[in-house]
Amino acid sequence: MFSQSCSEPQPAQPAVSEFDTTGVSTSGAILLQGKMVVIPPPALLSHVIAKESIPFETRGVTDAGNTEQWTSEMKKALYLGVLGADLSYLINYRQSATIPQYLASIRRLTADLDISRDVDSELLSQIEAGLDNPSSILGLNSVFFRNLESYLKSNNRHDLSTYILLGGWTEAMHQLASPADSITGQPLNRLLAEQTFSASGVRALAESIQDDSFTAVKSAIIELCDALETLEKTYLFNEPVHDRRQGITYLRSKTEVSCSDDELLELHELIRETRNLIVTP
Amino acid sequence: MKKYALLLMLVMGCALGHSQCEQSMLAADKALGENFIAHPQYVQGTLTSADSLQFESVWLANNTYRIATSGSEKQRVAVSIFDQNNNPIFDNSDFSYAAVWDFFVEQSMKIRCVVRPLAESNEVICVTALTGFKK
Repeated sequence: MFSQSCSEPQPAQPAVSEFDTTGVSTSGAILLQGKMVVIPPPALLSHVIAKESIPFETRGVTDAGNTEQWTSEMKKALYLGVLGADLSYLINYRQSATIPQYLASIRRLTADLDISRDVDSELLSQIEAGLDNPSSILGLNSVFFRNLESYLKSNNRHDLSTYILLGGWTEAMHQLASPADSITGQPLNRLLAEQTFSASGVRALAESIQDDSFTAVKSAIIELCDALETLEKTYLFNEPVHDRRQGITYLRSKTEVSCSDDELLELHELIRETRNLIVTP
Repeated sequence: MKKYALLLMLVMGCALGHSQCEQSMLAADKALGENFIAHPQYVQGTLTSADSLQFESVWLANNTYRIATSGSEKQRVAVSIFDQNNNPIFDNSDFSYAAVWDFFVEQSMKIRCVVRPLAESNEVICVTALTGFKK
């Protein structure tokens, strides 16, 4: 169970050290990816939102019909990430009637970015064909974006890959924030505050891009990460319990994140501003 | 002539590495299974046992995560996981170098995972590690 609060101040937290990410390669002779930062995928975040029994929000997704207005690769890739997050959200909420529009837009954008031949677009067709079974197509959606990531990495198109990840993360943050007309007591506040753990990774991704055209979005993402990172958090290590027979480990460490209503309001505002920069041509 | 032979060896080496990594991805994907939704991000690299891949991730509360590697009985892959304070929380050497292991996360936390092939000293192996979360 969570002992986490988003509205009450927490006691002072113990110092939390950063990961030691040096010295991993001892030969230095081969292709290591060094430290790779994995951010929570939109498919997981929308899965968690749906599990909380939050009603479907039409404003949780962007307009799928706007792909023609994007002219730069950066904007197209960010928007592709947004659409991927929207697709996950729609699948989790079983919005079968709307999903084909999003698949069509994803197809258009991958074609515009000249990557449609190199990723398995058959997966998109399988998603379309499997709309009656949302749990299976959520998996296909993830595999599609993994293939995309794989292709872009192996073809040294790291910027595109990063834009897609950042677009998807921002849209997932918007989905976490969008039900909150009233901040207090929203069940997703806790999950939103917990993105404090992702903030350093997202920041590292954003800072890895040096393209001038990305400056405004980058600044907005970094500002959002700053706000997330300033939230108070505590961590208490508890020994995990291993179940050898079932092949599972239970991680029992305690985490608390606290954020005041003012901090939540600020997060909502920063998410809105960042997303607007991404979805506005 | 020697130059062409070297070039040919290089091209063949790349092709073998590529093919080995495709096989490695297939093995990890199979190990992940159908009940887990694959994370789009993954780590893969061609390594000796002196090298490792690592990734940091955030695991969200009340979810079951799976780490699946391309390891097998013949080609074992070591997996170690640490929490945000570098406390060890899992080491698959305690579990016969299992290629698949699940983690139920009671409260959201940040983890660091280190993946390393167990190979003969100069052997180069393509290793893949996927994560997924339970549907």
